[in-house]
Amino acid sequence: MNPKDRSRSSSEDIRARPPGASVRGRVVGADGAPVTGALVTLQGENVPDIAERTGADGSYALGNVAAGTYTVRAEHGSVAGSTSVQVGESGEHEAGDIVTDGGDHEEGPSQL
Amino acid sequence: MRSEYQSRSSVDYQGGIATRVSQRRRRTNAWRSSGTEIASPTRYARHVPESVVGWEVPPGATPNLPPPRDAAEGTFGPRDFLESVIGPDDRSRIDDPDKNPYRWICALHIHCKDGANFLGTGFLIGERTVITAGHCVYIALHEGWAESIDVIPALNGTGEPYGELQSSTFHAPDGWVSEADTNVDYGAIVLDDSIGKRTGYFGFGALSDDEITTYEATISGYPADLDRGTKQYSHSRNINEVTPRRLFYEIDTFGGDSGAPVFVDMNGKKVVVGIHTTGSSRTNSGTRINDDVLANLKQWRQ
Repeated sequence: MNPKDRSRSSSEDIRARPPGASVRGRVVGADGAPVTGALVTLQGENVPDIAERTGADGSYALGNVAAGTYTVRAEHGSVAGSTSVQVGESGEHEAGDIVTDGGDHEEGPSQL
Repeated sequence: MRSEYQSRSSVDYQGGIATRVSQRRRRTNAWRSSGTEIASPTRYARHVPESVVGWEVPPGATPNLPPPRDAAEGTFGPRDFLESVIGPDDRSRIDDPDKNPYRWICALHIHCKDGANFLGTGFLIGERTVITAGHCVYIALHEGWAESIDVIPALNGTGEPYGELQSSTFHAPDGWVSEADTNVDYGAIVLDDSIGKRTGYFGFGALSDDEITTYEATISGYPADLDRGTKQYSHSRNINEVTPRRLFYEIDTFGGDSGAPVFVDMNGKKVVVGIHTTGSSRTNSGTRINDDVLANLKQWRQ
């Protein structure tokens, strides 16, 4: 077994829960160019408190999301933008493009 | 509302001794910036259960000193989108995270197999073991187990007093990996280097409902909305509700705080009682350290 793939069993009485839905989308500047390395967070009820950085194509994908309506917030330096998305019980949900409110989005590392 | 569940108090502590640690690698992050000096949580000292044993600050470690206080509200003010910040934003920046217990808390840069990158938080419970949220080590939507995670204890802007420690060895309960069961959303990162010998590390415990709600709890982590996730922010408040597997509170958090310790101060000893996982506009929540979680943490601790 690959060391990185180890998982340990627990004695917990696991309550099965269907895997949540996911939210995907892209962060772009006012000119439509993808914003790389933007911090994307999902806000709403009971969402994982984790932040993702967009990839080179400005895309992001957040999982384990329960059904509900969420705000997807993107921030990159001094610029920011948001959109809302309604998520069902399962499957992928496309939030569309988040257009940041201007500024220079070309600086910054492509990775963390 | 409280659950009728009552666990026996069980707390585990260990200290360490100073040693050398190798710095695996560094990255330049042009986005890191500084912010405004802010305040600290209030701590209430209460009794320590008899099951708290073996506490010690490692030789060379800085004794726990209360950071300066200030008014975080006045500094930040109300913000849009901060739906994990409940009411006014009461988070306080930790000006010197290279002090106990803040240096036991680590920024996580999570690299997934599909190229996605996330920010999270973790905390040391042993010389080589960092505990975090399960969704920080196993991210089902991004090909499961992370490719690697950079662990940065006491990150402070561009300051990395203990360097970046990269790991690809992780643990998580089967319930998280196979079912994405949020009741078991916790995991561990095992480091090659015994950084905990230099920094020290948290004790943790399965406290009773009454004990958990009596003490004021603190969450300190690396939220992405402030200083781009490069500064540690903390907030303290009593826990509102406990269930056998979850803790519910109005302690302010944000994306990036996932995996941060929910800890209480018991006569100066910091005891982790939960792992922060979830944000919400009404109540935030985390995985409770119950007897089962405690057993796994002990098993994973190195």
